[in-house]
Amino acid sequence: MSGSDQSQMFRMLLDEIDDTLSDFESRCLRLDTSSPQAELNDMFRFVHNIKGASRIYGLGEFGTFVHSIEDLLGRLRTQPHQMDSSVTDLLLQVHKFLSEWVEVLRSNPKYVPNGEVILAEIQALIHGIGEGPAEDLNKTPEKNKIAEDLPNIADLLKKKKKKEENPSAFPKIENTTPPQEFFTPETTAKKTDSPPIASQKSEIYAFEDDIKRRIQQTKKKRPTGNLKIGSNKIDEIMQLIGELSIQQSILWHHHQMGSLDNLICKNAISMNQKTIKDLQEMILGLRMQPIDGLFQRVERSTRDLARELDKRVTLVMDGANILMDKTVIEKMADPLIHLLRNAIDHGIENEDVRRAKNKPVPAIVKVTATQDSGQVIIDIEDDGQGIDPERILAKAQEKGMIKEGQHISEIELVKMIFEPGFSTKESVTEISGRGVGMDVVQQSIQEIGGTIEITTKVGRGTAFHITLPTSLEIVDALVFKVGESTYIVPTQEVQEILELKGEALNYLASGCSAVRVHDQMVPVENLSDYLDAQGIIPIDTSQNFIALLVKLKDRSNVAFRIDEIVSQQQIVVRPLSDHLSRLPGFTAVGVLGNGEPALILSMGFIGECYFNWTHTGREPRRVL
Amino acid sequence: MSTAKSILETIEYEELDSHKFLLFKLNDEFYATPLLAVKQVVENQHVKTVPNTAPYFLGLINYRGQIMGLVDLKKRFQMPERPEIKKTFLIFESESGPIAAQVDHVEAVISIDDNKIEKKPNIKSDVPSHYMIGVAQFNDSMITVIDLNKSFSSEDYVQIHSNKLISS
Repeated sequence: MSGSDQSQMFRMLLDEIDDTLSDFESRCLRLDTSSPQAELNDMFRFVHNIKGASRIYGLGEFGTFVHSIEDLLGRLRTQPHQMDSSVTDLLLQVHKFLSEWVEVLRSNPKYVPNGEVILAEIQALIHGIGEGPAEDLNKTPEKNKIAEDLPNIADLLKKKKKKEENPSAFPKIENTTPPQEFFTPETTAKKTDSPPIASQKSEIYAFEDDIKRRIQQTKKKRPTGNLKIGSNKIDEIMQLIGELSIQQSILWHHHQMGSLDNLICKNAISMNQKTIKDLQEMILGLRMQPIDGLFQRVERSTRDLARELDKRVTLVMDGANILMDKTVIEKMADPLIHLLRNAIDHGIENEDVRRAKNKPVPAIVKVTATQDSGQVIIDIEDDGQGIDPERILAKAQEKGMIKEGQHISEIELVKMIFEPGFSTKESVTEISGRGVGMDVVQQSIQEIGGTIEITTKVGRGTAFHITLPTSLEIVDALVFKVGESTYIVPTQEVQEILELKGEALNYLASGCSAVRVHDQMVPVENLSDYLDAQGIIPIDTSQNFIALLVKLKDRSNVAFRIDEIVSQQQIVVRPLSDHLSRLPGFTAVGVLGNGEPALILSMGFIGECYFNWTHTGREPRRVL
Repeated sequence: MSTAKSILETIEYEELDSHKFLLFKLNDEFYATPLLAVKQVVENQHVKTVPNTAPYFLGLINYRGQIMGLVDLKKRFQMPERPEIKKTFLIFESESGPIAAQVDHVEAVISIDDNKIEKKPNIKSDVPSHYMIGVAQFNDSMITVIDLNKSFSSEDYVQIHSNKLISS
């Protein structure tokens, strides 16, 4: 067996542990609200499964640690009245500790963290609970179930390894049924109430500079994770493939007979078209996952933070069954958590302030997901103090982002919180507020093709309105030509398409040119200069020209001259192969109607290049 | 991809003495590359140029829905272009995704015994050394044996020409 097989198996094991930990967490969060008995039983089983799995792969220390949690849960299970929120907190801490452990194990299989502190707490709690009633764990029906689960993992791993294992490591393997619990499509389909977000980091804390770092990390991280797919989906796809081959054989048969020009063939061709379309839709649908896993993470971090800041918050969540592309869900986790942290940290007032203002305690934070024609909308509302435009104005003036006497509408002012380096909270708290936050949130939402808007009312609260594409596969785009080449740019990256007369162009002394748009002077750049394209017509005052208006990060505009708009259409997006992933300015490839590939250009990047070029005043530094 | 790779590995070890090679021509010279690494040989396709890439990187092709880069081997080896020769594309499934090479003409599939290949000969060549497996005598001609698959994975095709393109 090669080393890569083994590491793949190890990875599968860690994914599985991650999934189980995520289930564990969801039960933890329910402990406070419902009767804990059922949840504790589930958690006990999860922990036992993890222990079994980890020992099989020689994660001895991990297994031992998990074993002590199993002990604790075993005690708690028999005496659920011992449960209180401090125990829940400890269990959540345990979850975080284990998740981080698993995360490090991915890169370092030998890793063992220092768990003495947390272990001591667990031991103390176990002693505190005491032996409890005479009920012996070994006699509970649960135990038998566990005994079944354990060999299943073992079976699976054995099968994978096709190699003899030391039988003494699995004393319970004999006389058990074939695997049911792990990796079978039925069970994974049933598990949809807790989808696999666990492949990501499960640690929740998100200090602002941390978030920036982590968003960058996720970019690099495992772009091709595993998907869990219900077996019925596979059956449906198989059936469609079957239909395709029937149609194919009809056509082949008639081709052999010498003529395709008859009714049967025409029918087969039109059916074929329909089948392919169905198949395409279905396969796109496979990437769709409910967002409840994301909600779970949000709920967890909200809970933690409210406790930390000693604020009482009721989190109302709606729309957990909405489906979104797996990648979109993964990329939304950090921004969403960050927004909620902001809402609780900056938005919600302290309890006594709220009482003085006659506002309800606990405060209400609402997160709602809704589906709307190919988009998912996520609304985050709080009933906190809102954002005061006056304070933003003062802050912006202090930072020199707005000039004295410059008039800016309130809406524009509020939007300034998305500016890089902007933060209004006077005292920097531990949680958020080093001024890196909102621009990163906006940036990461825009990266996946979404938008974020804010409405706020002083004293009443703040609402964020996020629209997201349900999948990353198709974007609305502008197809245009520069010289001989065709390029694609997502429509949302372009503010406006300018059709300008040649004589409107002003030449400036520096050799730059500019044009007046909506009473603003906007510099005009040749996009071809950035694309080393040939064949662009030099700017000539007698000719009209087309330019794309792009907004820069200092809110000024720049127009990029192009040669010709080809169309405005939806584009199927393909990722760039590794060979070209470093190509600056291009994010992906799109396939045009005629089957030709065309590069998808990031106007944001080009705009940034222009910005750096003009604002740093330094000589252009090459990317390489 | 992993299965394909493992098959490749086993065969490499088991049939070390009877390698099969794809023989092709660049201008008047013969070249050979391990056959197992070649996924497809296809006719000339429409090529879409890509800015800011190396001169020998011709652009992108869309072959059956797979979009891949195309490398002009002659330009890569700094050989003169002869536009009158019809071109053929070899498609490789390299470690970093599919990639195609433009060659002149595919001649045949041949077997060369491993011990007949003179490994890394000490000759001056336009072929970059990381491409080179060796040279072999086949019938009356000398063949340059190159490993395209591996060298394609390690090549860097990005080359910035626009001086306005600055990274932040």
